[in-house]
Amino acid sequence: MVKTFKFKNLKNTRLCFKYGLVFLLLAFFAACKKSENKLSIVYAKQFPVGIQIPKGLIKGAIDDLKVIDQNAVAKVSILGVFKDQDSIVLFKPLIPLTFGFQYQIYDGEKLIGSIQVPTPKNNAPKIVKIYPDVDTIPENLLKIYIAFSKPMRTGESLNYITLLDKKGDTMRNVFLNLQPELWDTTGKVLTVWLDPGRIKRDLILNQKLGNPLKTAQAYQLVISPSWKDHQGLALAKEYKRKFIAGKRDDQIPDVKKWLISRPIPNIRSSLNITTGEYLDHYLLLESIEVLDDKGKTVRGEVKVNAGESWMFTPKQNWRKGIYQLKIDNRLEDLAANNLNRVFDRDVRKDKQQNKTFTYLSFKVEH
Amino acid sequence: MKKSYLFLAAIVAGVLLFAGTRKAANPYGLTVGTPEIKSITALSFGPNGVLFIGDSQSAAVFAVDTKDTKKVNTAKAFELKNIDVKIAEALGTAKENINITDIAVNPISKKLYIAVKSADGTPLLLMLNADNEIKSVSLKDVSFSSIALNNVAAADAKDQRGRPLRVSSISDLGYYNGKLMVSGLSNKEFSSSFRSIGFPFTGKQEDESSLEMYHGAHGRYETTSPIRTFSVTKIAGKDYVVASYTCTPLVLFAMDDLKPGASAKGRTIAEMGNQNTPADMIWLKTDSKDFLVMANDRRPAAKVSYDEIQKFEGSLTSKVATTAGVNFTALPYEKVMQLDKLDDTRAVLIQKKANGDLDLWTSDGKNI
Repeated sequence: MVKTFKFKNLKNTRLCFKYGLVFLLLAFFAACKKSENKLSIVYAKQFPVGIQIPKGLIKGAIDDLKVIDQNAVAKVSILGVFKDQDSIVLFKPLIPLTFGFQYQIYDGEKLIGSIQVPTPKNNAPKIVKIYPDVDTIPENLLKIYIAFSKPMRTGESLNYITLLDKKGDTMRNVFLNLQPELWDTTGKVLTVWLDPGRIKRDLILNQKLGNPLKTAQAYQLVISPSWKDHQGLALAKEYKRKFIAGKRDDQIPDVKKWLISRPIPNIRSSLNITTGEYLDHYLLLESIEVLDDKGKTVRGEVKVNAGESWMFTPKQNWRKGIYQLKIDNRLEDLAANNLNRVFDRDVRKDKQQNKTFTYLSFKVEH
Repeated sequence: MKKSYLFLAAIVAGVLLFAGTRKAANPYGLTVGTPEIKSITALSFGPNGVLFIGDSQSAAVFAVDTKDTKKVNTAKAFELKNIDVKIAEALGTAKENINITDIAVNPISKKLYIAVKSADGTPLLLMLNADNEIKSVSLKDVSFSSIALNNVAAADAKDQRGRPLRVSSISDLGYYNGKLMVSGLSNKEFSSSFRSIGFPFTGKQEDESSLEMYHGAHGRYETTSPIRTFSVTKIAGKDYVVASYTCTPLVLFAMDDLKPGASAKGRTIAEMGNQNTPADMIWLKTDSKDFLVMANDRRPAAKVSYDEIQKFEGSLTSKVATTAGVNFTALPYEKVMQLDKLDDTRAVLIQKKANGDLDLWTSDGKNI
């Protein structure tokens, strides 16, 4: 009796298993069939760069297909190409699809599908650093660099950058409006000029409106959180940066006052230069080269700290002997005075030199 | 047998001759391929449908044969209200996500080429035909050549940590008599550059000229102010570059002086108002007289008569409080963002209207 029961039970289990398997297979095929006719987004480097249209949805010729932005006023076909790829047709628009937008696919006049591009789950862009990264800047500061964590939207930067005076009022016409804007090659670092016409002394703008910054006064640079990155994500927060204007700097940076450390031979100790004044961060990073006694470039890694400390770690050990620092004369301080001339000058009256490089030598010895 | 050899030789010679003829059809040393254009910040047409594309991000200029050379004698006026919305919809996005960086009318086909940057950074070249329809201009497999503008490669190569490189932003381009002129500025140090490069490009790097001018609004001689826009004119049989800067001085430089590495001294002929950046300038005829028309960002567009420029022999060398020098007329058009010449008498403009709309329109030969 027990045996029979067991057998029956086993038979039922097998039957259940078989039915289950058939159900699963059917469900799988049904799902496959459904997904076969589903539109999908194709991504490249985190951008939605295309729409896959299953051929099961298309009745007419590929040439009859068009993609339209659902919210567009004029229902025009989006510029792009349709590529025939086995079981699907791939639509590749000229620029990536826009996050959050709904797109409709038409086969001739018939709407065959609609798909929304989900908003990305990526992190919001951040401001990594604002240079100069010091609290006190000369009152004739010429430029500010803003470094972002991601490439940002360009062409309208001055809508998002505000300078507030000590009362918290927005200062007008402080920055130079330039088109194209000055972004670096990565699209992450923006250079903003304070209007040179207002900085140079005795100019009409300077006399009429005054220097944008005044010695011993506090200012605040504010960057709006509505500034979006290249994917349409807004900045994580509003960024504020306080600083105080110090006295005017009308002096050529003096390399003779630089303090140069003495590296130790046979090891990779770092070479440190203390410039004694804050220099332009990016120019300092790339303006100094180390040459060996044969005039060959010494390879190594450069670090800049707060615009006044330059550190170089060679890839190979120092050798005993005389080395040289080759300094590009375009190196500027915060008021754009470079090694050849002061920024605020008359080219016919004021002294200037036209050297490309300045050389300083240092010894490596025990 | 001999005859058949002769026949074969004749065919070979014919093929070679044909190949030779084909080569001669491309006189600018262009090769077929896909230019690696990273940004389009300035456009200007050269000879026979060649379009110069200024790429600030690559610090290079590309010369692309558009093959758009079907001559149109009477151009239809362009008219497209809310051009930013129309372009955005054609690209499947919103107007906030696009930026019109320059326009140029093909002087042969009279089609309008529009450079656009999308929010993700993609540079685009679009074209507006006579029916105001937006089309895409493919830059794949085109005949092109290019010239690098960065003669500071050594300085960039020094950056051993792969840090962002120096950008030579291109503010304007212009072609005249076999020369391509490029004005620009750097994103690192405050400096301007002006180059006159022979076209066809030889691949040889040409040094920039240093341009010195007296800036009346600044009351001093300057060399570093960046040229925003320029044009070319002939005065008493000599060719001149007419350049304008931020704070709007108008300066003439003799083209003979624009030699690589040379320092050219300009003659400042007008101060057209400070706190302003000129966007574009073109020459137009009104009642058979020539006028220089200039688009400005914070001041209305302005027009200067060629006769006045020609007559003005001196140079402004004293400080100017507002405006001085050659007389100019302020036009009733503010915020003209883009400007180019459609034909001798008409201009194509992109203007930001008081209500914020961005409209493309064409002047009628009298209203500018």
